[in-house]
Amino acid sequence: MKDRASVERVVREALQAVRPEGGPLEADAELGLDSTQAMELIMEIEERLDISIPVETFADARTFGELCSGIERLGA
Amino acid sequence: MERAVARGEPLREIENNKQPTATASGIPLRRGNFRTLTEALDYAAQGSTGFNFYDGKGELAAALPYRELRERAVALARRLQSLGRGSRVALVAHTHPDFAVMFFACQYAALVPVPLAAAIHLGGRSAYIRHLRELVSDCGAVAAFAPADFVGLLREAAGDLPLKCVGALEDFHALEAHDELPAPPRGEELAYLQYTSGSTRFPRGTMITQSAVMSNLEGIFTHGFEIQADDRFCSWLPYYHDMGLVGIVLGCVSTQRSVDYLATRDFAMRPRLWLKLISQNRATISFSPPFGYALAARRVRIKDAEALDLSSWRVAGVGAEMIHPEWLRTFAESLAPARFDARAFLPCYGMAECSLAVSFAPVSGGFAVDRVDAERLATSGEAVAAADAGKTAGFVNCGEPLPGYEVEIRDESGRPLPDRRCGRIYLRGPSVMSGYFGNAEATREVLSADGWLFTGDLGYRVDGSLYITGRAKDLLIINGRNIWPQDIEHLAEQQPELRATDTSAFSIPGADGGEVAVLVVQCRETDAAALGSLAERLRRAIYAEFGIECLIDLVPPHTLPRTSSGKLSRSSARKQFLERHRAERVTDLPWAREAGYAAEHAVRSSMRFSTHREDARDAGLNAQ
Repeated sequence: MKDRASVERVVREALQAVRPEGGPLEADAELGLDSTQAMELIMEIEERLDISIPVETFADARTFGELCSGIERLGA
Repeated sequence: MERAVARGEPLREIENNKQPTATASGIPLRRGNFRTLTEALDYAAQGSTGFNFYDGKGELAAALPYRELRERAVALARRLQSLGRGSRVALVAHTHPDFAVMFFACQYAALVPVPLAAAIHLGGRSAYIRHLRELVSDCGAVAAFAPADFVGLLREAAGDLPLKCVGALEDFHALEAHDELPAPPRGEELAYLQYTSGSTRFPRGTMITQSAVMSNLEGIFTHGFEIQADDRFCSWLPYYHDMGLVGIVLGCVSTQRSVDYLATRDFAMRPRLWLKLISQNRATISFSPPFGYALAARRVRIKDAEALDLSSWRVAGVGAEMIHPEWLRTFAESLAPARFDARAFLPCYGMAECSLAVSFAPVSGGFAVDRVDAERLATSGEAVAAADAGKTAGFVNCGEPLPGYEVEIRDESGRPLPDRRCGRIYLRGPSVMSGYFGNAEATREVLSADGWLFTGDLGYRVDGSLYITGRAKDLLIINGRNIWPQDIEHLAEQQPELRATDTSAFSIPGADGGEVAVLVVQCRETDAAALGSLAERLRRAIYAEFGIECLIDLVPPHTLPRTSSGKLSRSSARKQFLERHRAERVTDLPWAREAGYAAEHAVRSSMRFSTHREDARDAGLNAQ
């Protein structure tokens, strides 16, 4: 089970890998990725946490905070 | 016979003793010569080939031999027939065995399946739900199905629509079973409806009859490229795309070929898996739009390439959007260590309105490029050999039309043009659609009473071979995804500052040869902060709806050009946009180079690209 802080850390790391120029993210910041980047982000998160992110979690993740919450709910 | 697993690295441990289906069917090869899809599956079920589904780790998640597919489809069809012969059933076309079972159950029950997109962008839930709902309504579906991953989204989309059944396979198994199957589908009955783009404002569901799709499949696998008894397919193409559904799902059943599927989303995340599967299972045929080759080439490293063996890959089909020769060259170079042979590239041209394919380049010929004088092409429409000096344009040979198809290149007044004159491509043949479902007006615009289809594409011919140069109709194709400009404009005009006819959407060439969306917006506002806010809202709204970045160009009122009849002209708006910025492509726009907001230009821009794998169309463009 991952706590919120470690999910956020992993998502930040994954974002950094996909979009190195991006700065720190607030919870309500839009991810603003194109779909190639979005797929890379999901892959980076999946590999770091060894989970599979369902399409519904993906569909609900408009912001950084929403993505983290969705992953947290998976109980990874 | 077990060529699938005989070479390459052994498949990892498979649960339940699952093995991929064999490459050899054990029955005589038939190349799509069936009257209907049920006849095709009845025959394939006598052999030992079938569908194989691989997961995101590259492991076999499920094997579905045609024998089992048929049994399950027939059993389910007995429960579906109460839905009423000829009724439409919406199917969320996620790459999954249940989709295949449901699609063929509809065939045996003489229902009309309507595959719908299973593509969502990050945070795109509400746009996707709306999109599903609109299309389920548009086709007048009596029931709607989704594989488990999408069933929650489907239920939300279906809401209170008057449907007899909504859900996953088990929900349909709860319907009452009849003892007998209905009479099998006839040639003139519809085999499926295929939506040509994600447009909900202008949905265009092509109506394809059994005889249309079967005649196209027979032509493709007999004349396009002759299928062999030792061919094996590998595919990540979406099932809601004509190339993925017709070419691969129906094509493999109709030729009794085994196919290894990777879900589109898994390919998008891990494109190397596609190549690994081809290598491991010794696939001989795999198709992709050009961007798929580009994406795979970007992600493959030398050591990956060295570990692969792509020497079995004899047909690397390429179509569905303009073919950029440099993308294919990069792919071939990156995969040379894997013994990929560039002669395997097979450019082709087609569209959902023709079931799938119109023409194929010669097999084993790779991609051949015709270099023409760009000035002459632009000024007089003549595609003549390029002089030594001067600007040239290169177009890929997409081959001769399949037997039984007539192609004409016509000028704007409808007169046929001779060889090497660029014009509108018209087409007539046995697999042309019956029309767009429930849309007589859109049908009349493209299909004449005597069967000629206006393809919407521009091109020229040389000795019978087709070269596609561009599009006559207003349509954006961004990484294989069709987007109608009307949809972007309609969305933009929801902003309180804007009125109908204040916007014009089109695409311009991107940095790497792809297309970039542009929206020109007229507005009365002059305050920089207010303009900035508008541009940002537009950008976000377009991203949320379509998953693409769009350049926003804010201009004063009365800037957008109109035709003599007062209508906005997107092609003139595009021309003016490029002139206004003295640009030919996105890289000429200094403000577009940075993904930042330049207040003084009142333009918010970004150069990122989208890779939605939705519907696409075939075109060609190329070099030696």
